[in-house]
Amino acid sequence: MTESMSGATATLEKSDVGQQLAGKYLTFKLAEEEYGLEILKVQEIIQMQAVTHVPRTPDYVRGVINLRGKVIPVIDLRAKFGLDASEDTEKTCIIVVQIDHGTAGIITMGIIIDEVKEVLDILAENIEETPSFGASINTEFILGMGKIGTSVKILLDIDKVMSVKEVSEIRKTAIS
Amino acid sequence: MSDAMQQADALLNGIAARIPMVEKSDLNALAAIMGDLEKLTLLVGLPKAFIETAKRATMLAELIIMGESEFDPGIKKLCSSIEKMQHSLSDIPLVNSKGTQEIEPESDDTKKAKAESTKKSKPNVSDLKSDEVVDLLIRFASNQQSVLEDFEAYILEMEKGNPQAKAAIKRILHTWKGEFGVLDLSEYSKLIHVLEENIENNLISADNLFRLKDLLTQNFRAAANGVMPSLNKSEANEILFIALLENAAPAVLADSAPREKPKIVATSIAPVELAPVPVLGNAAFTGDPSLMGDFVTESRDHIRTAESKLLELESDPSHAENLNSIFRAWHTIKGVAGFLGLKEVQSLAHSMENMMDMARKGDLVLTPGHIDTLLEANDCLRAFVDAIEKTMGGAEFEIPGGYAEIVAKLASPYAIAAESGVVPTLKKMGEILVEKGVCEQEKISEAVALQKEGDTRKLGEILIDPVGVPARAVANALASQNAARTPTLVEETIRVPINRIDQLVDAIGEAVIAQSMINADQSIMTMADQTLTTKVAHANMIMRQIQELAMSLRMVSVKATFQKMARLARDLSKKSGKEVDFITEGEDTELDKSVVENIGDPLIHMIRNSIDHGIESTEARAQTKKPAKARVVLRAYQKAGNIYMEIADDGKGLDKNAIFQKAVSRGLCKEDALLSDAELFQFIFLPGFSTAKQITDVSGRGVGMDVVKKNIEALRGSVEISSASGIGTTFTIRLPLTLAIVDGMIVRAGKFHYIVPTLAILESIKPAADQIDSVMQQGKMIKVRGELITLVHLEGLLEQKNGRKYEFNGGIVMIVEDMVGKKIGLYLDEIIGQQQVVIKSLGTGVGDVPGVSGGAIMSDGGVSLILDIGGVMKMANS
Repeated sequence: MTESMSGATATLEKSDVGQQLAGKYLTFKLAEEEYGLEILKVQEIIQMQAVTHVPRTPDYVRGVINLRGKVIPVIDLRAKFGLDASEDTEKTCIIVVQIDHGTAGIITMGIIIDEVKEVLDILAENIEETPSFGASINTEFILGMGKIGTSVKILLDIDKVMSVKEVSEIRKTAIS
Repeated sequence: MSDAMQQADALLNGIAARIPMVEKSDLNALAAIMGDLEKLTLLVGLPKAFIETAKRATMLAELIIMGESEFDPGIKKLCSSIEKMQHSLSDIPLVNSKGTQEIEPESDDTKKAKAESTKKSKPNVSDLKSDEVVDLLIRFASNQQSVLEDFEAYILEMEKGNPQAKAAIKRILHTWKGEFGVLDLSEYSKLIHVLEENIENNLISADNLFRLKDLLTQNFRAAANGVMPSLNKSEANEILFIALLENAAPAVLADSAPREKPKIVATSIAPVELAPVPVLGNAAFTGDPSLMGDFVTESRDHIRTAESKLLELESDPSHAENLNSIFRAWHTIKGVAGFLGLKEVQSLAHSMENMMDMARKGDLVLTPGHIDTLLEANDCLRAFVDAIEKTMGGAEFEIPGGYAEIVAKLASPYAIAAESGVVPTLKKMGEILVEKGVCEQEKISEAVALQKEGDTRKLGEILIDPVGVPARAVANALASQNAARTPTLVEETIRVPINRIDQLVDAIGEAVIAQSMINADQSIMTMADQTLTTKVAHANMIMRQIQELAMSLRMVSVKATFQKMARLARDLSKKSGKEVDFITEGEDTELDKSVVENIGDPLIHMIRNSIDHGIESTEARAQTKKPAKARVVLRAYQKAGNIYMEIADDGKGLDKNAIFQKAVSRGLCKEDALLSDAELFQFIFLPGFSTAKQITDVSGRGVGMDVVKKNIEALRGSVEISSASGIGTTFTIRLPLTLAIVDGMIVRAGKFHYIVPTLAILESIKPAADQIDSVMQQGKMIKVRGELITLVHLEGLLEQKNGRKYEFNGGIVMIVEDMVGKKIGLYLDEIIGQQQVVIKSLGTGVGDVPGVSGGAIMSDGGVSLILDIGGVMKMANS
């Protein structure tokens, strides 16, 4: 009896997470893993182009590009996640995202990824909470896991991934 | 009835009403008609034949204006085509408009039938309030602003007895009557009708027309929300009542006009009338906050205009155009203040307006004393506006100090007149001629005598004919007299939020880059297709034009700033007791708005310096045989992509010796140094360099100069001084046309390109090996003409990859200086070229990067970083 009760609570929690996260995601590939980005955060996808290096910024800041007259920073997501660097290919692109950063307002940024896959509608029942990987892995910027067929997409909380505060903190340490 | 048809109908009615009254010389009215006809041609959804007729009519109107078609037959033809258009409009099914009714009267029955037969059929005008009518009202009301302004201008003209102005007023009234009729605002159309009837008999005074204008201004504003406020009976009656009775019995009116005191005739100014309205501690504003905001901005404009015109009045107190424009400015403030329930402002503006009105009518000649008082009053008005702005931020409303005194002072204009001295007036013809030496005083007297004896011709004519003064000389004198009188033309403007302009400028910037990317494209450059090449070239040309236009959008003239300086100079000269003739030139020179906003402070410092210290006292000037009245000229002009501003005085000049001694004593240069004047004068920009106590001869020159230099350099400009002892000093400020563009050198350091602002660059050298010295195996120095300058490796400094050794070998050293004149040598690999670039922020995501002030988009579409020399220096020192 008690067992079934706790089981019911668990499903309820699970579907709660699912309800919140269900929706359309832009999926992309990064080092053989697939990730999902809330579609509402995505402004556009552009071809990889020459990026101007900005001195004294952390390694994962690839530099800045000209997005139709506006200069925006571009982040190398591989470097940000601590994955091995790889050469840019034909499929490498920049996803331009709009990041909500509280007092700093909405910031437009580009993120460099290996390959854009598709836009998926992920239903509530297919979304699961992020499993714990222990203290060694920071899962703070993962919203949850989307199960599509046999594959699993890692749904990113892009606001947290690109936290400006973190960027500036890292830069400070780099300079001092 | 479709929207287009309604518009066409309204336009045609407007034209039909105006055309019979238009006069050959009234080009404005003709142009307005042509404009309306043109609008007809642009309407969508009307039969082709109608549009064709409209097009022909437009062309005809143009021919009439150009004088290429005879006036009377042309107008007749125009009338008939307009009638034709009105007919054809009525032939379109479901149309039943007012315009056609005039020509083909329809019985009420048919009208009703039509109105019932389909709901879409509009105007049987009386069953309105449909969306279309509301729409029409909004459109009508929002277009009236400029008409009202014209109306006001015509009233002022009419008062001067200009019959054309009266005709113009009649036309406007007539159009309003028609429009109000169409909109079923019968109260309004009745009111206007009565006014129109009586204006012919001169029964309507200008004040009542102003009242009408104020009333309509308020109500049109309100009507922008879709509902025209119903005409307050008492308001209407007041206008009419006063209108019809005023001339007959002004005395009666004191009791009968409760809302606003009637016009006070100049001779009977009674202090009672102008007594300040009881001062309320916390006046509760009835106005809506957005209107309040508009009031604040508009009033500031008006106050500024009035101020500048007042200053001009000082030299010519009877300049009619200036008197009128001041009157208009204050009158408008009064009107709006009244509407917003700002009683104090209203009463102050009212008193000011009154004095102006007396001056305008010639009942009062403005003396410097009056102008002082009016300037004070104008300042008080400004203080009110500031206070009102503060209340919008939540502060309590405070009556500015001195308010009551000023109102009391204004109430007795003749008392002020007694206080002050001589009145300069517009130079008379004779005076000009004598001054120019073309004719003796006797001849003038002779001519004047002839004129008195009954010669009815003008003085000039008499001078030429019996007296025998050369006609050319008289014509010249006449021209210079007229030049002094020529009214300034008011340019029409619209207000646009600044961010919209910025967006537009950004977008055009993108388009320009896109265009240059097309031009640089390999396939375009090697293309054989001639027609495509022409098309691309054409697009290029248009793009350049658009870019120039876009740049000019943010440009504002320095006029307002110069006016402020004129006021400052005036006050300073009064305070210091030195007579100063402050002359401004090139007020129409345009600069980026942000530059203009920031140039005021440095100018104030420099003008203060010129008047306080540069110009000698009157006694000292008398000793050196200089004219007692000193000259200070503030001049702006454009040269080679830069704006220059000059402040030139004819004072005693800088004391080079004293500056040199001071520089030596402070160790800034050696005793035997040979310095050019420019180098020497640069010392006075150093902080705390010279003060009055330390060098009496320089007497404080240079105080605040470091601030001047810093401010101007923050605007990426520079200051230079030239001075001759005993003759005067000239400060020349050089400013970039816009802050958004920087002139830079593109350099390569390692793999990357950077832009170094040209202003910071002193020189570039290819160093010989023995020019570079090592200090303690760490820092590097470069010897340039005996001077040791710190040398940094730009790539090494920016990249800071540990463990890599950066070689000072084979590259170029660029000597740069920061704003305070500290020098540093940058070692880099290559100088690529020079270019003007548009500064862009790197975006919030990257934040402030040390040593980098921003990015610039290059012609290949890529981004280059602009170096911040101050930041680079800080990095080098840490």
